[in-house]
Amino acid sequence: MFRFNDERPRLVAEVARRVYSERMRSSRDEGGAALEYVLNETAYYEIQRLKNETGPEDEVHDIGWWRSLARRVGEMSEDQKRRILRNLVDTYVEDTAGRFDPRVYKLVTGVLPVGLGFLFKTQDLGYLPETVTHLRSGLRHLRDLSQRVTVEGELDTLRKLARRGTVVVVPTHSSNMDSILMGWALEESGLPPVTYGAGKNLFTNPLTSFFMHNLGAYKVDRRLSHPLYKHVLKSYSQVLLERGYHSLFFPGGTRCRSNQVEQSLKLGLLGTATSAYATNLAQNQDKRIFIAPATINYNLVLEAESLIRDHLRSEGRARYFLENDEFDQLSTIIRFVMNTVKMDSHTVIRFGQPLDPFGNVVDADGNSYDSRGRQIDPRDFLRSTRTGEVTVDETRDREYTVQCGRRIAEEFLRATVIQPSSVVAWSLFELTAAEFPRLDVFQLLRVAADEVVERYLLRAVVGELINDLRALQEQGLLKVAAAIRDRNLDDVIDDGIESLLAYHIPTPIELAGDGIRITRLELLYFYGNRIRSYPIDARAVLQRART
Amino acid sequence: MTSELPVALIGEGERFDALRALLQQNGHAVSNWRLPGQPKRAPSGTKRVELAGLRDTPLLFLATPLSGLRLVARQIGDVLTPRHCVIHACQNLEVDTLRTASQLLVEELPTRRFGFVTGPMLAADVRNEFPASGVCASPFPEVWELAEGALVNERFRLYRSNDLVGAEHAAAYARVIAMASGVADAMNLGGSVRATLFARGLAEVARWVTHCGGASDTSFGIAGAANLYLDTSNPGSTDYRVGAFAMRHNAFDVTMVEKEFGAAGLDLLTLIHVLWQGVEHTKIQCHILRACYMMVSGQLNPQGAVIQLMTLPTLVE
Repeated sequence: MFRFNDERPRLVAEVARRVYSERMRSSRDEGGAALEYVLNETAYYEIQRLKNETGPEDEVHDIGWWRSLARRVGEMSEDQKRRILRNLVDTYVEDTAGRFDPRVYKLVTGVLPVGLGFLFKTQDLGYLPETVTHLRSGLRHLRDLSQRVTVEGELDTLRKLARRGTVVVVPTHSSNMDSILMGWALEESGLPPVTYGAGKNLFTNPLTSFFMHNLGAYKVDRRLSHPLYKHVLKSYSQVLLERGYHSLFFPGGTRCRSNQVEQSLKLGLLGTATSAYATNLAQNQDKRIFIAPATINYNLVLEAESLIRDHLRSEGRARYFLENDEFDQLSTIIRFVMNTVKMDSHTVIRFGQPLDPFGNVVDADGNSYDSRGRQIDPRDFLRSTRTGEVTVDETRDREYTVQCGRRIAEEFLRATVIQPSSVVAWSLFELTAAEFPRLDVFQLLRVAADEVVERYLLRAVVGELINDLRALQEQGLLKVAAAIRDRNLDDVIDDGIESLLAYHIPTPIELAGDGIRITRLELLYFYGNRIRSYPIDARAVLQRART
Repeated sequence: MTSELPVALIGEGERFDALRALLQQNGHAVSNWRLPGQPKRAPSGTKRVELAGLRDTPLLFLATPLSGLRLVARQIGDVLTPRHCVIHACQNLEVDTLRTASQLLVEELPTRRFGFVTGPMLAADVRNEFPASGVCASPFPEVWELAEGALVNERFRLYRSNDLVGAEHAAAYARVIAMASGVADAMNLGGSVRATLFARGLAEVARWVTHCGGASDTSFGIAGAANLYLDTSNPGSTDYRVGAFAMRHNAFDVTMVEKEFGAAGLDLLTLIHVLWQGVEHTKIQCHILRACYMMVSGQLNPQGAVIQLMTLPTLVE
């Protein structure tokens, strides 16, 4: 990343040249008509979007310009169409390309080793005079944040791989804090900085824009869904990888609404790893690319309330991004950080088994192994069966990416670290659900309120659940957090309860004598969903607990 | 062009014979690796090679029963590379896991370039140079091209599909419907019931295929409808004849089926159990499969199965 600024103009020019020439080539293949289709299609998507967009946004062109283009494109000369295409491509590429300022990087990773500390810019603190005392005590805790976030897993392997080739970090995604936290975690672990695609909202958010603009992030405007823009994004990512820039993608695409371990992955940017490897190989450059799956395991999620609300509202049909969620509210972030840094349990970032772009396991020397542990040459995946020559084949490589995506999803499951909040939330939710056996989740969330769960019963269920989780851990299917593994049952329950009481307002539970009153079942559902990603039979757990 | 590409063919049975005949007709030099228990002499038109010899044949056709496929794949996986292309012809699912052959191969082989070739391609028809057809299902266009290069001639058409898992499941499920048709025909129930079984059977196939992540259209193509039509036409496939045989003996006696049809008969009975395991706890409507399962497991005799199917509540098409 440290050479990025010098190379930026060449990189931007190469991406623009590539997108433009590929579009022109496909246009020639279709007798020139495709150019008109590309412009018309782009205009159509933009008109549809801008009809529904409200508020001042940084737009490439306003709706009038797009309407005018749609009207005129049929009568334009080839030269005019090419010129407009070239301008659009240049604009999108320039808008996408990030910057990297080593001084800002040093500031974030050195002067503020707490990683998240930079969220508290002094000018923002004036708006919150009532929290200053609280803030000061919190900042004392913040300095210890490096001890409150554990980075674990295949770090030695990754450090070696980062010297041998290009690393693509692919973490789970549940909070806008993820990219910041991952950046810090990489530095903390002796791994190189990465470039990554960040939502445009992070570039406009006053808390994060300065850092996003200077830490190598490139801008992803998720409002733009037309193929030309996607082409620009993919080409940008591919060129970065071809040139050896370590990268980070969130293969879930957007923050996971349900808090289940992500299994439905978006493969567009991931596919650029295969394409970059193939393109380099076809030019006789054997630059290896390694995929590093990682899980981010919070005990509490900053945006939990918005995420689960959105999940329930859409019942699986997630809106692509949320506006005005907790991440846009400084006071909420401060409350989150102040309250969570005081908790005993750690946020755990776990790096899973590194893979090659075809989903094969790789060792620290960069050797690939098939599912039976045989060493294989990854270049063979890209060789034609007939001729043995390395070829670039989009359809073939797309299928490889699908297969790699499956392996990443498996690795997400294996590298997920179950936290006390999830264990307690799952148990409370399932005990409540058992009282209403005929209701599905959505009915249950509407009717169940103020149920009180006796502590002895919660203790029994948590105990049985942990037994099941340990059994799954022994099979290598997940990880149990040290906050569960190394402590007695009552401490785990206390930790889980403390977490659930720590941040959300109103709290999802209340202490009620010897019991726990459920006040916001949807949040318990959210945190418990982490565990619902695994084959745990709730009915059997409850039955064992009751006997 | 492709005739210069070394080809290997491994396995036995009806599909093996059909593929061997096609490869021979197209002038390929076909290598054959001997499976345990096979005669020492290479099948006619093939040349025996040692395991290591498969390293030099980038295109392999596997026509082994699924029960032995994992072991075979594990062995040949020691000499294959990710460059190899493996096309199988296995119409069964793995017991317990319900995995298709390609899903099993991905666990055992270093390559990912898999294809599945199936369809109305009776060995006798191919040998007699009658027109026949098949489908090659694979997500890799290169696999289609290699299969076409190896198999297609003026008497054999090969269609393309990218729905590998769908084709595998459709071909497997169609075997159950073929057996049901065998039962019905042996009961002399006439053409109407055969047609009903054909249509409603395909609807079941489509539901199952969709449940498994395939495309429902695949069920109505070569892998589903064409296989089923052929299987239920005179003289009928082994699966069809197992049904007719059981009807004549009024029971699916495993020992008798094995004695009459060998491993192929047992293979079908296992498939029915496997499929029922997959369907039992779902909401998929699979009435014909259920009736077949009840016959095979001795809970119903063929007459009882007919009554059960004919007295189902009215269904909407």
